[in-house]
Amino acid sequence: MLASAVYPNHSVSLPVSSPVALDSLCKRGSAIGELDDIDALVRTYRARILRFVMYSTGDPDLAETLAQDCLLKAYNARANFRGDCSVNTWLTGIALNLIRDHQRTQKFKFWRQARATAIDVSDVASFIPTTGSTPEAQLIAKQQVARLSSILETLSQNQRTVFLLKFSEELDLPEIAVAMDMPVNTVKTHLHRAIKAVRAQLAAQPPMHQPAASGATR
Amino acid sequence: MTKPTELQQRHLTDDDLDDLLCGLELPGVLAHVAACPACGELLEAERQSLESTVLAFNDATLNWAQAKSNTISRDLPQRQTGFLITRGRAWSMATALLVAVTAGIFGLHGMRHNDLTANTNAAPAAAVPAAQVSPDQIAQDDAMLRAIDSEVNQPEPSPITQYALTRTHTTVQHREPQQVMD
Repeated sequence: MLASAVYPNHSVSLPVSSPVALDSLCKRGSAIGELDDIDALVRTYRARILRFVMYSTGDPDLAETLAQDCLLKAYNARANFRGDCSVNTWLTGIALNLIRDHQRTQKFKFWRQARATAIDVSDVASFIPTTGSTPEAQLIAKQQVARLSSILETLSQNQRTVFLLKFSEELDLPEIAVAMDMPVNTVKTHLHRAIKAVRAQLAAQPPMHQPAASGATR
Repeated sequence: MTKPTELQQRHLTDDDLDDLLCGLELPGVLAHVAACPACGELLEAERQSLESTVLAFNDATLNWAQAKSNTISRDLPQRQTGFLITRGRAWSMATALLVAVTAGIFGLHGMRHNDLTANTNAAPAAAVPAAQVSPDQIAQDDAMLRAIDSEVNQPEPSPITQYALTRTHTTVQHREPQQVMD
């Protein structure tokens, strides 16, 4: 039995008897269903892609455009999805390619220098969830968001991208290597440097309002 | 009993901490962390600090992105539909053009065919309307055409002669602004 019998609309000729191929086909089958519904695709992934692109480029307006392009490109090319990674990883790879294409253009370089629409950190920090947390905890969380946002701006492009993919998109190192089209060891090096820089800067800028220690007395 | 390695004996360095926070599993370092309470506490404190910052960042940025996404939630389907409509329009335009060109070719062919046949049957075809017009009607049409012709050929009075404008008037009119300026 061939996969083309299972998925007649997609010409795949892997023998289903192979467990790897079967797993890949199962992933592909569910992913194709997910990719076919553009509303669900937008609903599920747009926010994550928008966030990733915005912090990768530092430009919210450009991020909106690229996020739109990414989803449209993925929807139009859904027949090419092989199922050897998750939809999120695939979309991230497309978004990364779009970001690279934009960064190569002179137009992007000009606008990056102009920084007409930089990220408004205080605006983003105001989106801290308020349910079940004290005002003090919310204040600390806002400060953490602002600090990490400013630290991310100081990282190199590769360090920032790897950091975001690891900690925000929650991809593992091989997935990041696939998405960024670079060896795993290079990814490890970028991530190591990114974490070193983040830790150093977090230690250098402690939050203004530390939570009171549990045993502290007045 | 196995002798502890050098890696297991020494405390964690910054690089070790970075590697562990990256998610790398280094057996020698992990063995030391398991055996050394001080390094275990240090690693836990660093992990909590990074995780709480990243968690706050992820929550806020995802909420922000979702709020931003909701304001533009209809754009993509519209763009997709717009693309389909454009493609559909392009097809209909191409079809209409093809039909028009085909009709034009056949029409031209038909006209040439009609011209050829008309040349042979021109006299009877022209004779029919001429026979239906009476001499009185022809006389009335001629009178109307003469009246139109005479009306059209009436000389238009020139403004210079009509208002008796002379060369002196025009000169004075040109000099007036200069006098005002002086």
